[in-house]
Amino acid sequence: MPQADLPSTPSAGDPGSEPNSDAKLVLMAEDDPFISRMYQIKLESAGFRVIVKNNGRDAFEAIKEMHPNLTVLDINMPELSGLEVLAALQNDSFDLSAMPVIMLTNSADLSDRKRAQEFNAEYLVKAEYTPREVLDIINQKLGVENPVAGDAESDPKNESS
Amino acid sequence: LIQAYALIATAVFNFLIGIPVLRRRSPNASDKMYLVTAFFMFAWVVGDTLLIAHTDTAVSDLARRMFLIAPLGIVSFLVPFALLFPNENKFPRWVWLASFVPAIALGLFMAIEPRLFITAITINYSAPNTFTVGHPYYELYATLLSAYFSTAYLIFFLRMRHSRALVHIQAQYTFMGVVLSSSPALITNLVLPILGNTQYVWVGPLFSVIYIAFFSIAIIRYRLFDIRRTAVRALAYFLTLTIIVALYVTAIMLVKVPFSQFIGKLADNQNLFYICTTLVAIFLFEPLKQRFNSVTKNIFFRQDYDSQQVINDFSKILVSELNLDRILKRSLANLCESVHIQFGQLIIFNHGQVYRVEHYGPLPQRLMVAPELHTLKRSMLIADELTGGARKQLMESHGVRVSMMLSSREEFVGYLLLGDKLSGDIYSNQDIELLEIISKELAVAIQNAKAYAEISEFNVTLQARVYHATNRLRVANRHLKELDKAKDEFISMASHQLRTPLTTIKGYLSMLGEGDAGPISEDQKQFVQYAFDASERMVRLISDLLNVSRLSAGRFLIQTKPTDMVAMIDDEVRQLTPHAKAKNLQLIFERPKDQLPPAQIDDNKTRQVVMNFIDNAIYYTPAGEVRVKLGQTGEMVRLEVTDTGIGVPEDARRKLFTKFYRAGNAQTVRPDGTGLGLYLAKRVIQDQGGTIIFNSVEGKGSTFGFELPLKPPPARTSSTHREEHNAASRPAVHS
Repeated sequence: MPQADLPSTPSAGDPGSEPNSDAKLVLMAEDDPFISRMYQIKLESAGFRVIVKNNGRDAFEAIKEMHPNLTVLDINMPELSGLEVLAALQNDSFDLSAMPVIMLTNSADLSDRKRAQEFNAEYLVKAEYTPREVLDIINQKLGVENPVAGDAESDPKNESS
Repeated sequence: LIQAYALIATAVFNFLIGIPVLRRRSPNASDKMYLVTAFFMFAWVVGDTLLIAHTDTAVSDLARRMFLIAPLGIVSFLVPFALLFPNENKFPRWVWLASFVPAIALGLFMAIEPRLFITAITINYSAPNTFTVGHPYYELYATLLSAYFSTAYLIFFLRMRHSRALVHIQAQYTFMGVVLSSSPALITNLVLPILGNTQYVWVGPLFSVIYIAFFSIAIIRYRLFDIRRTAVRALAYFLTLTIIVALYVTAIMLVKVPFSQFIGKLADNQNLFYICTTLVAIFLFEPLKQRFNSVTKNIFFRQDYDSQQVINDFSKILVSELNLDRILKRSLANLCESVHIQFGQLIIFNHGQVYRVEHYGPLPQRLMVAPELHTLKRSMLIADELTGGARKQLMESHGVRVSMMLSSREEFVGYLLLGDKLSGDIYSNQDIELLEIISKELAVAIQNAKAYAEISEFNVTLQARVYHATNRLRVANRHLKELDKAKDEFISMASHQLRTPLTTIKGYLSMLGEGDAGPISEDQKQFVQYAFDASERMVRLISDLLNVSRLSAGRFLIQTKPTDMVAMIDDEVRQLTPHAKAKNLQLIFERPKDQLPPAQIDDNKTRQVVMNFIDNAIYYTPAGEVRVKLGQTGEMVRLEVTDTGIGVPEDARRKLFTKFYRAGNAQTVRPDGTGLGLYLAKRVIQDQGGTIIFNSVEGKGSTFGFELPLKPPPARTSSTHREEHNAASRPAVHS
């Protein structure tokens, strides 16, 4: 399969795309680079710092080390699944309650949803949400007032709250 | 006269021997000849007695006629009897002429002129009467009789020479009897009177006793005429009579001879004594007869039985048994043991072939085969009553005495073959009657048992078939379950695999539209929006497929959260407005008049239901409007989507909400539909404790909608429980 190049950081991006120390840190674990890149662009354009890890083990290490403000975890990943990462963190006496977790997955397995709820994590089916909607949810979780005045026309969920 | 008494006894004897033959079931010609002979013998003895004993001249002529004519009768029937002996039925007509014409001619002459033959009778009071014979008439008479007798001797002799086995012995005895009795009688009654001596005429008839004796032996020992039973009974009568007469005579003699002097004085008392003796004799007769009956029975018929008892036993067997083999075995054994039959055989046919065979007793050397049996196709055949022929030969060669064809309700069942009786006796009237009754009952019972056996066999095959069919179904069912599971797993896996690339497509399209890749023109934005909407629909389609497979696998989960229904529907209406516009339809949203509290429902799934209703309405409405109406009734939120579309045909309404079902007109309008939307909608709404609203007029339009409780019913463990609960609690919600 011919591998397409990942989209680079938009040249005509938002002014707030430059990371600064005040910016909230979002850790994203996602093994599909096109998908992780997509969210990264959206989140960074909204002023978040985003660290992407493409497997569970690296994500676990990064979370322990960096204490991100929020973590977005895929479930089906190499090394450790998103749920295993949470379990490992819990075993490691990591305080999960201080960090909102969003499970962002295309898994059709309902038991995954249940276990995510046990960890008090938000469970979202990846295909059902646009990056913009995911961003809205992250903002909501972090108590950020809609920081970017996006174009409401193309985002249906914008008006719902 | 002592001679008279002896003669009377002989006359009775002669008479008695005729009775058994008379009582035979079906006397043949030979029997009849014999009977007539016996009658003339009796007449002759009576005539002889009259002739020698009469004292009144008035009866002289009667005595002459009887004495002379009776022997003609004897001989004219003796010759045909000899010709027919022992069991023939017919002989040439000329025999009748040759035998009867001379006898009748002479007999008539004698009847008219008896005094030409016996000219004078000397009446003696203390001795037999004597007479003188007329010459040459008496010689003529003697010659004719001698000729008859010679012919009879010759015929018997030839019969004896040319017959074998039993018939030979029977002929032998009869021949000896006829010769030994008739030849001395010829001398005393024909030769001596011609020579002038008539003193011994009374001895002649006594010789008939010899004939009777020989004949009785032939009857009793060698089954002549098959009249053993009645002959023996006659013997009992005879013995009884003999004893009575002997006692009577002895008593009179005892009284008369030693005490004649005393009694002479008391003539009146003598008569009284006779009366008393006679009375005693009369009263003695019955008990004595019974005594002799039982004595002869013990000797000759030890194996007697009670017909009614046999029939009762038989009925008991037939009532208590249903199994064919046991019915055959027990009934045959019962019959043979009761009637004392050496061997018996039951051959039962089914569809023209031998079906069962049952034996009793020692098997005969040869058994009949089916074609032989079928020549016996008569309700009843008794070998002893058959006069020759293939059937008799067949039966005798197989030792079969009686053959009965069993049939019930006109239907042929089989044969009952019976051998000799243990006593060697022939089958009596009693036996035959019993057999007739029993065979009918047996035939019916066999027919029933056959039917029962057939039903039982049929039952067994049926059970086996049901068993096999059930097994096959079980296997097929297991296979189907496995297939269904594989299908669900496939759908689940496929959904996941489809979603991942779709996430990328949809995500980047949305970002493109949002300007994340730089500003785009209105046209570009429009195109991106179309692509985005299509990807969105595909996401929902995959979600539907996944939900259906979850439903059938029992893993369909409702997740509720407080939802603003107005916002949700607003959203959906806005998304679908471009579709409506493209078809020149008006899509109108009638909001509720009052503020609607947030509903505790599954946001995603309910949203899909709403979208499905509106999307369908747009698709199936060629012109007009689609009206979405939201309202609150009590604790329920009510949504209705009404269109002016093609409507749902009457016959499709019942199945409309079932999986993969699509109405005929819907298929024409939209060939790519899945038939899942309404099915899922119904499940989603019912699983949340709501009800589906559906009304339609074909060609006019439809209304699809639902009523959902604002707060979910308390018990929500499984969808089925929920449905039950919902159904029970709905009236309470409405009130």
